[in-house]
Amino acid sequence: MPRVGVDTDIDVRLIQSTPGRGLVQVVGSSHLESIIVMGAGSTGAAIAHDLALRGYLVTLVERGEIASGTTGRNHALLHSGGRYAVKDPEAAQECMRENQILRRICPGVIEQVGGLFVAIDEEDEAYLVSFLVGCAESGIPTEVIGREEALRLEPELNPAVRLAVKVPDGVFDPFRLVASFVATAQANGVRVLPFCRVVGFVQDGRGVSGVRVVSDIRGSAMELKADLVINATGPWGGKVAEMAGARVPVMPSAGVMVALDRRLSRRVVNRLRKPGDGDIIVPQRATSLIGTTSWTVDELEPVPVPRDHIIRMVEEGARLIPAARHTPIKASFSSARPLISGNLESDGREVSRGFQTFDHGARDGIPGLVSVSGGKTTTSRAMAEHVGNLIGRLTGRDIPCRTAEVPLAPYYQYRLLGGLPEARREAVAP
Amino acid sequence: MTKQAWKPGAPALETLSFTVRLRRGGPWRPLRHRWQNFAVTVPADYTVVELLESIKGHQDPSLAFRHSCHHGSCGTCAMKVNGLERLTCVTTVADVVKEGGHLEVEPLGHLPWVSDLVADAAPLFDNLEALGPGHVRMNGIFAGCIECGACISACPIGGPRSGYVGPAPLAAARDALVTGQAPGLGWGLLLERVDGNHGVWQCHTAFECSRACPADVDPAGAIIQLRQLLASGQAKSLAGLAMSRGSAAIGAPAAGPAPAGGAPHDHRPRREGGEGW
Ligand SMILES: Cc1cc2nc3c(=O)[nH]c(=O)nc-3n(C[C@H](O)[C@H](O)[C@H](O)COP(=O)(O)OP(=O)(O)OC[C@H]3O[C@@H](n4cnc5c(N)ncnc54)[C@H](O)[C@@H]3O)c2cc1C
Ligand code: SF4
Ligand code: FES
Repeated sequence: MPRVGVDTDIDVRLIQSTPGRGLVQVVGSSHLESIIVMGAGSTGAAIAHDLALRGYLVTLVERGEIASGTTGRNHALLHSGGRYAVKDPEAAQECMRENQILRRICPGVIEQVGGLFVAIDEEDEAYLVSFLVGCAESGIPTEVIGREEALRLEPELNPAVRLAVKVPDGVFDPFRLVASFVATAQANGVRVLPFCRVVGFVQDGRGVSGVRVVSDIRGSAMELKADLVINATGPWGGKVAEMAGARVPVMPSAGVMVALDRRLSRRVVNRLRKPGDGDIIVPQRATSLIGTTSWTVDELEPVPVPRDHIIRMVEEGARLIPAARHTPIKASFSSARPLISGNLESDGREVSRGFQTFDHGARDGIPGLVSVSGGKTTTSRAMAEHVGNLIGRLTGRDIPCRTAEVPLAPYYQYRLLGGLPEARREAVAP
Repeated sequence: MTKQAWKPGAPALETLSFTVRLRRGGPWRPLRHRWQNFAVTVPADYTVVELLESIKGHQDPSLAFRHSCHHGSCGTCAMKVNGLERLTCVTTVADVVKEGGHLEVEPLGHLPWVSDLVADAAPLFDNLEALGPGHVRMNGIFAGCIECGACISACPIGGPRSGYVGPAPLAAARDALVTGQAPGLGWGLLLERVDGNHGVWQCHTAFECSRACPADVDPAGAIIQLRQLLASGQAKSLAGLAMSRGSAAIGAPAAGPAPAGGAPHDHRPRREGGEGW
């Protein structure tokens, strides 16, 4: 049984932050408000980084390793926005903008490979005009290429390909992207506590003034106090908010991806049509990821991987690149989108891909708690900017966001034990 | 075995019932270490990581283990399964346990133990940064290493605490030499480390690292190649050549204070083909 008690040295106000190697600390001697961010997926990691640059005193708590939720298991596509160009120009523009920013601030965790939208049949071809118009309106550069050129660039494409459109898609390494955000945050004084589960809130009346956590490194429960608490626990967000009596209508919507055991293409290959199941193949490191599907789940431990979805992914993938059918499957996995919806009956894909923030003080009379949910890893920096601005309003400060300019630290400077005392780091498992 | 495609209408997938023995505890925990058993019944094609997720989700929320990508590319989920290093996200339970049997999972050895099944990869990252070809590990040029630590755990010499540079970092040093990309430490120190007491000559050529490596990096092969390069004097010439080409600057460690917010991010973008837009 974990030891229960209040660990006073853990009050975040008392913590002396340790600047990282060679990095200048941004936090001045007069600390601003203390803020706890719950969840170290792409959303929480980007928020911790944003708030640290603004000078807040930040603690990031994560129940497992960083990026062990949805983010680590996503499709790894650095969206150009092409996928949203026809239906959701606003999302498309935002993807394009953030795509460029991430390439600038963390090039080391991005494979700048480019992407193709390929037309396989007549219907795809008929989609071309609206696609090009949508891209133009969203500022996404495109170049239409013929069949021969498409096959020259990607020899394994379905030979039935009629034409293709080049777009600036990319591929990120989800774990290392999050590690870059976290390493930078650590360098700027953020206390990062992985393997630290939020199990409840410290509440004065209804207002939230901290969180109760159990550290699975220390094997003990602690109370962390803060001026504000941000809930960035993705698909778990509804359950976490509930512990404070707040409501976040998260509808976990899962998607299956199949990882084939080699790279079938150099670029990201998308089907030129209205977004649907299994219409993207992303070459990531030594694999090709085919995805994805979309259905509502309530089981997250683990998120189920329905067998028929695996078959469907391989079949759909083979329409883009026939070799998908004969390439060994390395793994099939799924993760859940933290989509927000009031209507639990609808299909996850139709719900907005945008994100929402909830100031529970204004909404539910629970001051001190803010939830953020939805979005994409590609747009995590922009989401964090938005949340940072909201925190500015709540704390009565007008500090500009700097995350679009400041380069991130390399991922390998992330320290799992960065938030723990020095002692006992040398022990090796018996 | 990987998750097999199940065809609609085919008989339901087999399940397996067995006992999982997990190494619990850690240097910070009140109970330093013990084994804990869990009785489970899961689909036979569950991966070991999915099995651990289900134990954490439904039996014991305090279980600590690392995982992220679930498809063998991030390197976080390496553990010892029945005594052998495995990437647990691409190992199914049917690969490693029989009906009614025992499945034992432990953290990697030789790396600092954090808690339960978690070992800290930081010493590996440090050595790779020091000896690897200047920042190109991320470009995928360092032979596809996913930095999982399995080779360090499997190596009979011991981990970073023994002083030994270790399999993955030596493989990275070989890549720095043959590609002419300067390592974080610079060429002089690279040769000194690789040729020194704790370098390639400490290896017993047990080949355990190459057996354990899930990414086919073959660190043992790299160590043997490095020995040949050192013995024939070619290692020095390669380093000299690279230095004269001035590539040392590429990977030179950052000097002086960095701008607020991040170290100078001089690793170049990863390119694995494509035009890069
Ligand atoms: C199938 C699929 C494919 C996708 N593909 C892409 C893509 O290609 N490109 C793209 O840009 N986006 C993609 N997305 C979207 C993107 O992955 C998500 O929007 C994003 O990862 C959400 O990040 P998050 O930080 O909000 O959630 P998560 O990554 O889930 O982070 C939440 C964290 O909170 C932690 N947590 C939960 N409970 C607690 C607790 N009690 N205490 C402490 N911590 C807790 C969890 O462990 C987790 O790490 C995809 C999503 C899905 C589902
Ligand atoms: S060389 Fe192989 S075993 Fe060693 S860290 Fe790299 S991928 Fe893992
Ligand atoms: S979870 Fe990424 S390699 Fe296993």
